[in-house]
Amino acid sequence: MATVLLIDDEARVGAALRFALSPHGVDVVQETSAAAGIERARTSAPDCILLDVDLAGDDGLVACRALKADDRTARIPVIMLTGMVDATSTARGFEAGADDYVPKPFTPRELHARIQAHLRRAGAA
Amino acid sequence: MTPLTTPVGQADTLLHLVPPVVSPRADVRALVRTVASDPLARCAFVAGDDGRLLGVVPVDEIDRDLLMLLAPGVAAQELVTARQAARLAHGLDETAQRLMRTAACVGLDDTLAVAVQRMAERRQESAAVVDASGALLGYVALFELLADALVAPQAIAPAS
Repeated sequence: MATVLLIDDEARVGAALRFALSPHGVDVVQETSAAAGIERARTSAPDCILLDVDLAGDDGLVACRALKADDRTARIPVIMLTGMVDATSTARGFEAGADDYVPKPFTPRELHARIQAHLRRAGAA
Repeated sequence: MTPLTTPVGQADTLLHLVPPVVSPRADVRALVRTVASDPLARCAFVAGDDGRLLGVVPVDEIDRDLLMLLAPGVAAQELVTARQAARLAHGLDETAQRLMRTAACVGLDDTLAVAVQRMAERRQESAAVVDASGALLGYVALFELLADALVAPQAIAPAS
């Protein structure tokens, strides 16, 4: 079973991810702060990370840079969660090293397809 | 194309998860930012701290008000209802709690046809989707459902 680490301070985002991904055999674990998320990524090596770009100010971007700068987590795909029309946040996410982004709101099929694509590339699917 | 007989929870290309949400205490500035973050929804859903749906502020509930506040010369040409004038009493500090209406709402097991019916009854362009605990999970958008259904109109079924 693939594991996705969600780093987002809103519990409702975790509920949405579990609703969309659990039927496909994807386990979702959530951390609500950048520091806790980075630590979990280092110790548990999830197959994919979904990271809120607006996590407590710029912490989402800081976390992305930290994940990509660490040998233990650099190869884990990082998908940024952004607002639908937030082109600035999307660009900043890519500049910070993100592999992809998913705009909020998202449909279950879109989310699953994007995650599966990254898991395939990483050899985890 | 997704038939309107499909349960909302299985409409995996039409159910939008993580909808635009504000707290009941949100002011007009926060409402506008939230509505702008998701133009498809055409509203901001209002939820309590526990995630339960409390109501909805449709975009047409705030756009005329904003016009009158920010461009009174333009708005003077519009018909101002007593309700709109009353809402303006608090200006940009008006809260979501005072502006919100009862939301068109469906559960995951309701069909898309029921969602369309609820939106029509409430004259709203999106319907909140709640889970078994009443927590707001997502929404479906009226025109997206209609556009999808019109691909194969024979699939349109009456609400049940």
